[in-house]
Amino acid sequence: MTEQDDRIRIEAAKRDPKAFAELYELYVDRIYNYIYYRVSNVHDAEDLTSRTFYRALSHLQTYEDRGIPLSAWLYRIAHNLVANWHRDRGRRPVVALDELVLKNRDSECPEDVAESQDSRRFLREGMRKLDPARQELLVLKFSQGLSNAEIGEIMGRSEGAIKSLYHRTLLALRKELAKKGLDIE
Amino acid sequence: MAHTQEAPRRAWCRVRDLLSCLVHRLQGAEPLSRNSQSPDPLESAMRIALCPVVPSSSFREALRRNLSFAVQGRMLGLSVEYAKPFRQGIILGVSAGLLAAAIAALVVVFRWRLSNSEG
Repeated sequence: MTEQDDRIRIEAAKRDPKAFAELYELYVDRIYNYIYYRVSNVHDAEDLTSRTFYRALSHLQTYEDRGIPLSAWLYRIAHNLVANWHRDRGRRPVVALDELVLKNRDSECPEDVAESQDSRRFLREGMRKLDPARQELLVLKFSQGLSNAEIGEIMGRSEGAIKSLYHRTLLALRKELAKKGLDIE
Repeated sequence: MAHTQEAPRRAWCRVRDLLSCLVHRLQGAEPLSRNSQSPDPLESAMRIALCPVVPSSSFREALRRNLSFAVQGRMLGLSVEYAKPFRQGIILGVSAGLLAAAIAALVVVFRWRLSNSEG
């Protein structure tokens, strides 16, 4: 989607509730997904997703001045809300996996499910030990499937900086997992 | 329109997930030797660990409805505010209820004392 498309969508959303509903439909899953893996519980993920879209709605007028893609703008709003959430709560996230509504991937590889439930848990726990920027990078990369350039737009860094941060993040994650006795090679 | 644009992304995610699964399984059976082209096992594992999640349909619908009201309100010149979350609403409601009960109890005691002193 080009910036021109974004501008057209935003202009339409300012005037037409249906156009804003289209924007919502386009991004709600991605924003929820991003927030879920940053806060690790369904209740707060829903709350912060709602806040993200309300904030987007109330700041629609200022969107044009920012010069970044709409998706990056939404991710930044979500990022700020998540950062505030962590600061206000001053706590480490708690996993509530039983409440998860996972996309139907597991049925494709049943043996993976059996062998990797623990690995997944360890990986997520390891990720949570990293600093927030690294956690954000991993979520954007793996959960959202974004490129380094797209991640750079969201995190306000260059593509090269993201590449470098990614390399360091994987090393740090390996170290964390090694501490737990999980060696993924 | 939203659905038509979301569909390719979902399809791509699905293909990517399937490929990731396939590589994982082939590596397990060792027919595919790891070389510089094969994905890092840690990356594959992270992709699986951070598999996509979707919000519940009830949440999606409720938020869509509320946002729609908010957009309409905004067009009428009303300010857009996020409603207090359910949990905070419960706490506020219970607090208000307790306060009302305490005031009612005080009034009853006060009246009872007043009637006793008059009697």
